[in-house]
Amino acid sequence: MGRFQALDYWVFQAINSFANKSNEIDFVLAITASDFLLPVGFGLILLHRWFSATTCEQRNRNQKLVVLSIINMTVATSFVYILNQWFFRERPFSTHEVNLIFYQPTDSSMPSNYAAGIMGLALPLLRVSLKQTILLILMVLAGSFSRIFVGIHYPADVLGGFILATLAIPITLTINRYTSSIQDHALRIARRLIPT
Amino acid sequence: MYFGLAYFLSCFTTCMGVLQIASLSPRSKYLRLFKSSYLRKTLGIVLIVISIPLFFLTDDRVVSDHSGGLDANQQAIIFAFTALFSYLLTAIISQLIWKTKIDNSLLKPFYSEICKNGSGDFNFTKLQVKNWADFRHWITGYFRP
Repeated sequence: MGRFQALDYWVFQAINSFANKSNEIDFVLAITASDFLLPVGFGLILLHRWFSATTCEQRNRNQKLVVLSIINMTVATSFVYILNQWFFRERPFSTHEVNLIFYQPTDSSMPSNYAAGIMGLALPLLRVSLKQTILLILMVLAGSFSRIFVGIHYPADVLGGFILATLAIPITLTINRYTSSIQDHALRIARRLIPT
Repeated sequence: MYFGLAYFLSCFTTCMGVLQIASLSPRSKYLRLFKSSYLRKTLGIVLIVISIPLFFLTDDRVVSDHSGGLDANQQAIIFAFTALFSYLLTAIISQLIWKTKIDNSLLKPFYSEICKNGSGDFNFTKLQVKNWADFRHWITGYFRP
């Protein structure tokens, strides 16, 4: 455990040591790490998926994927919430000297709620198309890297978030199976109000 | 500017942009603001790109929800509301400019329900008025003896 934590801190230091070197890079990565840019980006991808189908089958598949994506994010962040009831890890800036270029969050560092959320949203969408998969992976990696760069997460926190988002998949699929008829009904109403 | 309002405006601009890109699909044709698909795509990209500096350069946006920012739930609610609002506005503007009708194939599953007492040609407003009338009829049905 001690060796793992040392490695975790070593990687964190290696990434965070580049902060406070250039104002422009700091600014861009602080924006990337912010709670607004990437979550809104993912929301826009979901909005585009909802409306952009060209055939009826594609529309059904896309809209179900949007629902699946939202369920998976909810399950993944619920895992984080439950885990944080028993487990608390101090943020890097609380225990070490770091280059902090972000505000100081007060919740547990491990696992990263942000990483779990964006990975949870991205995972169900990965099988849609290669172009979108690359975009989503880049967004997830950029968001996670920037959270370490700005000094608010250790790499293991981000990894923990990714693992939780992946573990959420079986539960999401089970929820999806049992709520399939409700979803179909809700989608039918939605399509009447918002024709697609 | 109040943080929530700035977030709303920024999301609104980007949602409009995304809807213009989505309107390239024939199924979302009733959301187009320009006839030319090239113009719609360009407008979409421009709206998305300008909203980022509009939001992040006008004030310090890297703030916690305790210091005037928004928490995750507030963000999700505002984003969902904004997406719906931008959709409604885009559809109405498009209808006013181009007199767009909603493609009958989109309404096919509900055609028998919608066209019970009227013609089959629906624009966006007419469809929503019809939906509202059907909803009222459905609700009041429970209270009729």
